[in-house]
Amino acid sequence: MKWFGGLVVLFYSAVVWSGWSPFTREERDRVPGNVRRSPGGVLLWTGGYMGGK
Amino acid sequence: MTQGRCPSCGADVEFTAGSAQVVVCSHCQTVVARKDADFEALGKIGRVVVTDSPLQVGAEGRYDGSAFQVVGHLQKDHGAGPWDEWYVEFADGRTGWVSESEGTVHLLFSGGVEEGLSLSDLHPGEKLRLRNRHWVVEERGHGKVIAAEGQLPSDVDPQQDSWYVDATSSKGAIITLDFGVHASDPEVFIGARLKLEQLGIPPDQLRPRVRRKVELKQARCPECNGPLELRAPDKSLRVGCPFCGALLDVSKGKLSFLRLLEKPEHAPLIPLGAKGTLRETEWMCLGFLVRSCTVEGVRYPWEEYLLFNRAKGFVWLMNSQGHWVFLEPLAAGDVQLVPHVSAFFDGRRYKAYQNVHAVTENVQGEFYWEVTAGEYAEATEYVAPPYSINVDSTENEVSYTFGEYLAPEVVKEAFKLEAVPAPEGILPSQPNPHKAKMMSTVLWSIGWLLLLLLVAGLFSATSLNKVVLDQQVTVPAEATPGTPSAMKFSEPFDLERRGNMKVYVAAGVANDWLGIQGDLVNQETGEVVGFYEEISLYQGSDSDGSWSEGSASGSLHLSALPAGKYVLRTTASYDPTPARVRNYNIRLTHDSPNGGWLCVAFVLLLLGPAFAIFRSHNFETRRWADSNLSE
Repeated sequence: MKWFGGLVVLFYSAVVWSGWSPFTREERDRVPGNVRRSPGGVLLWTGGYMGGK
Repeated sequence: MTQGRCPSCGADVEFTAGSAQVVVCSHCQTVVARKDADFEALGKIGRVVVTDSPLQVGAEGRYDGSAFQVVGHLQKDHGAGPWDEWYVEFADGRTGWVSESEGTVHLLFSGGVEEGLSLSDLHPGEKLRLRNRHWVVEERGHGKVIAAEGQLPSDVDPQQDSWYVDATSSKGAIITLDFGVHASDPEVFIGARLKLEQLGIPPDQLRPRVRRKVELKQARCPECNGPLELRAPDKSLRVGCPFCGALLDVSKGKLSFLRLLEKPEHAPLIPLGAKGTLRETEWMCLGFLVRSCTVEGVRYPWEEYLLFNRAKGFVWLMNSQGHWVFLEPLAAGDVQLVPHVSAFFDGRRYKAYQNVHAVTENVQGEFYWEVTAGEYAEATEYVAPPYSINVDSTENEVSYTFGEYLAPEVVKEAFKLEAVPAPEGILPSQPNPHKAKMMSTVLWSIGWLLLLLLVAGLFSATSLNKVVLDQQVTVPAEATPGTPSAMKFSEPFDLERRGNMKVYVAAGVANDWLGIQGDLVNQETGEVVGFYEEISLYQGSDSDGSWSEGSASGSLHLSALPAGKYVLRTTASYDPTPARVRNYNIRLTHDSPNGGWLCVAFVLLLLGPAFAIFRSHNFETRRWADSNLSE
């Protein structure tokens, strides 16, 4: 436990510091290149990338 | 002082002790009583035989601030060889009796007659309330005076077989109840167990320790003529021949054959005569016994080695399946006993482990008592590992011993043995080998848990934990789920720094479900972090009563997102029938510590102590599995 406990605390510190959340239904992608910005400069699109659905 | 002549032989006799009523003529062994100015012969008494006692008539000492002199000497026979008792008279007029047993002396003073006590009611091991103290009866026996010398307080009759009961109390207190020949109200003698030095007798007045039965040192077995090199002929009452297994009686300086015993299955692991140092004392191995008990038809044997040191007396080493226990005699009165439940000694509670009938099977070497093969004793063991209290009781005697578990290596090293068998199973008083590890593991775990909480607190204190979006969304009734008509864009919001994101979704669902596809779009880079959270709540009632399943809200954590400007696009999915307006709330909290990781770390840190506690508890479970007294 002497060393294992230290590893656990280190592991906890690392994952919290990195903000890693591996167990959520999370997908990372990029907005399709053909999407245009709104007049305010905001990316608004209703087609193209649909979050994987 | 009263002087005169022996009525029998005419030799000079004198009374120097005012309390003495008779004096034994040193020439003819006549017991002479003084009657006013005359002397009267009361008969003859045997001449004392030389024993190993260091006391002698005429010796002077000092106890409890008062000087005394040894003025008389009785030698009794309780059936186990001569027993010495010394009559002492103090300068302040008090009188007492001193007896010696295995390196310890007992000084007893007369306490008058105790009425209402019956010999038949006092059994070894029983408790007794007397003279404002609690006592434990250790022995009940009878014996005769066989020899005497010097001055004595009353007549001695070698024909009288008188009964006595010995009992002990705490702090070395001892009491003897002398029932005499008629088992009438006993005369009480009460006193204490002392070291010889406490009597304050100058060394030059002590008799040098002489070895009686010197001729026995090089004796031969009367059965097989094997050479018997006796190590303590002055102490031994029984000898077991290692060559033929004959059990021999030691009396009057001779060995006599008693019976033939079966030889032990193997030679003693500690050879007879071997010397070893334990607890800073050099012990000599004098005797070897094999004892056993039978439980549910299974015989459980163990070995006992009798060790002797001239200054400290006798102790035992027990070997049971490779486990060793060092055993010392203990006064019964020092132990508070709840029979078959627990014992209390020296501030420690001992739990009852087992009660068996132990039988002595084999005997080798020398013994200070009249050991007999086939002898039964009721043996009860109380344990507080690594210590134990052992109570052996027979019909007339109960003996207590205090045991301490020894690692086999300690015995091997002490007696320079080539090898000792590896321990098998678990001994009742064996210390739990996992306990120390368990304590260490628990302490380390507590330390790491505290550090974990500290680290978690630091993360919590330094995190932003900032709500960057809290949005109420309404999906029109005519919208089609999962399509742009059910889609909603948030106002742009900024993330000041890199950090994770907590997403919270709540909706007024009732027997319905709602799925939210969220897409966090980084406006500068076009990177999208998508997630899906579905909430559902169903409830109703049946024959078992009301029930519900699911929740009207849900949350999840997203991995760290870089700083920047973001927009959240949400697309709702749901059961389109019936068509109605749907509302939901979505809240984003930036840089919020993930409590799930704290739980994971907490559980990981608890795994170690949980395993250590399980292992230690499992050892205790196996230890107590063989107990016949545990609940």
